[in-house]
Amino acid sequence: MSDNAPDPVDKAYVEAEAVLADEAARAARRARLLAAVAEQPAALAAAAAPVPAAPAPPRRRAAWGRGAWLAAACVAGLGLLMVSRLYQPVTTHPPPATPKPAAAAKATPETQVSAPPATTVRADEAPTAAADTATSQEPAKPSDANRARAEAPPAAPPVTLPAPSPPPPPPPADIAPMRRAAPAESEAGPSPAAAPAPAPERPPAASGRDQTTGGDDLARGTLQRPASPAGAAVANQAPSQHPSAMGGLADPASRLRAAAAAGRTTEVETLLDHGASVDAADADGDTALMISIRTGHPAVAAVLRRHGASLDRRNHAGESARDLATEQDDPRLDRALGLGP
Amino acid sequence: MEPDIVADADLLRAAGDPRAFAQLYDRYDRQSFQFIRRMLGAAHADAAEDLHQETWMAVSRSAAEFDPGKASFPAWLFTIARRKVLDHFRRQKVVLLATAQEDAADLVPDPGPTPLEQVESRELAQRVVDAVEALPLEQRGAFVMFAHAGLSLEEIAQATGVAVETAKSRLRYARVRLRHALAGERSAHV
Repeated sequence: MSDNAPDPVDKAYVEAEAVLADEAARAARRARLLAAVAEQPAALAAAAAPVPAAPAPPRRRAAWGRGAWLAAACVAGLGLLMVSRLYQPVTTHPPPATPKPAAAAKATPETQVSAPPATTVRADEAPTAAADTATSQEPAKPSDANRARAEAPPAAPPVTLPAPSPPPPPPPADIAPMRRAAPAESEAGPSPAAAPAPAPERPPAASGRDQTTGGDDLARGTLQRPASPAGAAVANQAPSQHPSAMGGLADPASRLRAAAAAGRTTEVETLLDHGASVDAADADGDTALMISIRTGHPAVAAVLRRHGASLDRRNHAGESARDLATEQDDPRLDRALGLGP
Repeated sequence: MEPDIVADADLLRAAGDPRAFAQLYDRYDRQSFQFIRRMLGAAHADAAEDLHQETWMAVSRSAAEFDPGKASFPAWLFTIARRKVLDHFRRQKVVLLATAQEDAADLVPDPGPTPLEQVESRELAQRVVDAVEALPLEQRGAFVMFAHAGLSLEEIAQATGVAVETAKSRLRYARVRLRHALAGERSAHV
């Protein structure tokens, strides 16, 4: 039987709906809906002459209250914490350069006494590009060994800098590049040195599938479905293309939306810090901000807004994040989006 | 469904004319409400009124976004309605089964046409509706859109963001399941 042909089951269902129809309830529903629509004439007017979305009511533009400032402070603190975690591991490696006594002798006394050892190393022309990278990245974080060497001789005459101790063994060649490459890992190839970078709190198992479906799984509510073999294959391939802070899974935009849906604020922030597009949309046109609003995660919405997520971009159903927030009517959400007091 | 697409679009764009909007609403009210109601199932039936109103409020608010060249009005309307239902499930932390698994699990023999020519009694009607609500979500949506709202397979595919063949499969599986569920109804009630 053709799928387009009438089917007895179809007919039975239509008859069943007719039997169960409640005309009184329908009339009440109709009256209520038309009254509600009539209360928003601006929207109907917009239909005739398409213009940018009308600004939100004035009450939503009131100044931020104390709660919003607290939320902003929390987000800023979280950002600082993440930065400290991102940059801490590298300080354990000593700079590879070996100070040259002759060059050191040319330096002024003030420089020798007060400048950090790393600066001295830089002035002495570290032998490798890797060392250059390390010193320029971390001028204020010398290794303990170098710090001890530089601070040990303060009583000695500045001009007679004590002979340097035997140079420490050079660090692995990939340590210095690691620091610089971390934010741009999407272009870089796989690097074992990037592995220590802080991984997202809980990489979603569905991300591999998101890549294959353009994130539409979110709209289908199937996020907790076990990954299919095909999806697992994609997930297994992903780390070779997107190592380190992306958690080894492909498509940062899909991961961002998945993290937004799950309310994983830290992961959202990490992905954004590593270049995930804040307004990238899924197959339905939904952005991470829209998803965070729908799923009731104001903290995630605040982070996304702070990274410039658009309130007025529309999905394929014509809804903007501002519309969705208005529907939610949640003061916490409004504050997070900067729409309320 | 063979709607006058231009007329739908004209009604939608008749800004400031509540009668035009009411006319459009009257065309699709029953179908959209029953679609939402069946998608929600008995456990979430209380949310049907609100979601239906949210759907039509979204229609009025986003009227300017509707492009009749891209989709028919019913396809657009059911896109919004379906998303409202899924949003509701997300808010309620409802975990839905995977669509592909639902479809694949339905490879059972078709029992053939169900001799259920008339659904006259309220009790029997309720059993039919219960059987529909017991379908997997996406099959249920495809079936209601096709059988009750009159959407074509192409429109169903548009509204649900899948290929036409997928929509076709869902409809076919839904019918097979319903035939199984209703196979004994005739002997008992007709």
